[in-house]
Amino acid sequence: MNYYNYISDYLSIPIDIIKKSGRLLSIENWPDYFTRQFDFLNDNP
Amino acid sequence: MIILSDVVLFSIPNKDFAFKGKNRTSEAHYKQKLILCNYEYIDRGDDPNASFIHNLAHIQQYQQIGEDLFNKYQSEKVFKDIDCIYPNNKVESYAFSIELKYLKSMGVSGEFFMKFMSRYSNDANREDFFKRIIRDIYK
Repeated sequence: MNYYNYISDYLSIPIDIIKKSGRLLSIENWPDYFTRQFDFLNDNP
Repeated sequence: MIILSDVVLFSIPNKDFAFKGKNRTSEAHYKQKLILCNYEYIDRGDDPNASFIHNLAHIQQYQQIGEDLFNKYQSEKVFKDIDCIYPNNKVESYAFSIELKYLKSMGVSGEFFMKFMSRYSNDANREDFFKRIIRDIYK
């Protein structure tokens, strides 16, 4: 999906501002303390 | 097993997240598999109350049971004698249970969690709900 469009609509903030200031983090870029929680949920469904 | 590896974290400046009067640093968008948060949530370098796994649990449950049942669960009390629907519903109960199981595995006490959550509200019904969930998880 187009996250920029979705978030722009949701927050009522122009998409160019969202693109300029937003940070899109997929799982490979999550901090360790988030990855640990993700792994725990996968191991304890 | 629901695949959560395509969940996306999207952070925006703190001022942009302070929208709609919500007093929070992050929130899950279940259908979109998105966790929207402010910069502070990422930059503080810690997640002391494990709110990330709470948001993931919401997305997981939504993806597992679908929108209709998810919405139904949001309006169904877990403890009939507690006089509130938030967080005393089947959606929040699941997410807080997962959150507390994770905190327990990390050696974090139920007391720490209670103290941390009191910064948001001291409502007696909410406190009662948390105490019962903690009692169940830490037994």
